[in-house]
Amino acid sequence: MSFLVALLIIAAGPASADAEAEAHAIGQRLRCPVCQGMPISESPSEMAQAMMSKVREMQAEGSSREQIFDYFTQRYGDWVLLEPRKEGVLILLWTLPPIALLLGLFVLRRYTKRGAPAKAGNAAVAASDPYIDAVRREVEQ
Amino acid sequence: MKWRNVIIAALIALPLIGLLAFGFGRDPHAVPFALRDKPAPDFTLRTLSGATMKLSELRGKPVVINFWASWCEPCKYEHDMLQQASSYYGETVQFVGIVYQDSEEAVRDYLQKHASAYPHLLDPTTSVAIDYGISGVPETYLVDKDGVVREKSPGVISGQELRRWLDNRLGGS
Repeated sequence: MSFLVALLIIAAGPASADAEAEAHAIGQRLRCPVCQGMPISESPSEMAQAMMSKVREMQAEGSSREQIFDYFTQRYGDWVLLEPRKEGVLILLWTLPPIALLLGLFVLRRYTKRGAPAKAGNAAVAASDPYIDAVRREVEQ
Repeated sequence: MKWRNVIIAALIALPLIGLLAFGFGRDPHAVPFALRDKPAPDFTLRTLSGATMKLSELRGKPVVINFWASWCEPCKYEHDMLQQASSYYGETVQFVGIVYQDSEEAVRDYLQKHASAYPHLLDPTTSVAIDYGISGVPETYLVDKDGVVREKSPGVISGQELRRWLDNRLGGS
């Protein structure tokens, strides 16, 4: 009998460890509503602990990660997600920074390119300036 | 050429200024009212007297749900007003207090020293508070006679605000 129980514990061990790891991963992405920007998995507050219990309860009922996020966003809005979803208008939060970076690089490149020929042009003008030519001849003599 | 640069700069700067104005105009800690115009999460909780109360059984009249705790100082500011409002509206409005992260003894002790004109329910696992998206106490919700969440007041609710909520629902002045 005790052998059977031991077997059950050994069998359940990795599964429950996986479930707890998954609960922790979900909790890492949910904002604690009574803390300052902390995930519920790290906050010691009673509210965060209660939310973690809800996560575990929903997991045990077979809810998927997305269903758990849906449950919390239906109550706290997208505010509760520490990592915004990659859908709808929120996709702008993911796409705008790299677009702005690329745009900035493009503008920078354009301006530096434009600046280079201008300098060369000035040098050419300076080279053909009669006053500069005269000074150069005087120096060479 | 200069005007072109000005227009390009404006096109880049204006959305950024708009974004910053939007961001700075909001409290980043304010939890949005996600349940507005949504069906109120149902609950069955035990009252201090040992009876059970189910929200869906209160359909037919507005329900004011006040999340509070005896350790919460701001809750004490609104307590008397809520008792008076409950007496004023009588049978037309159901007032319900839901105890948030507090011991039954502390709540009983507090209510013995202060008036208690309506039932107070115990939420020992905080599950109903999470169902309503609570981010602290006090927090007050108005559920209409059809069981839809219509209003939310994070923090202390004023008498005027509560009156506006209820008069709108009851068709009063």
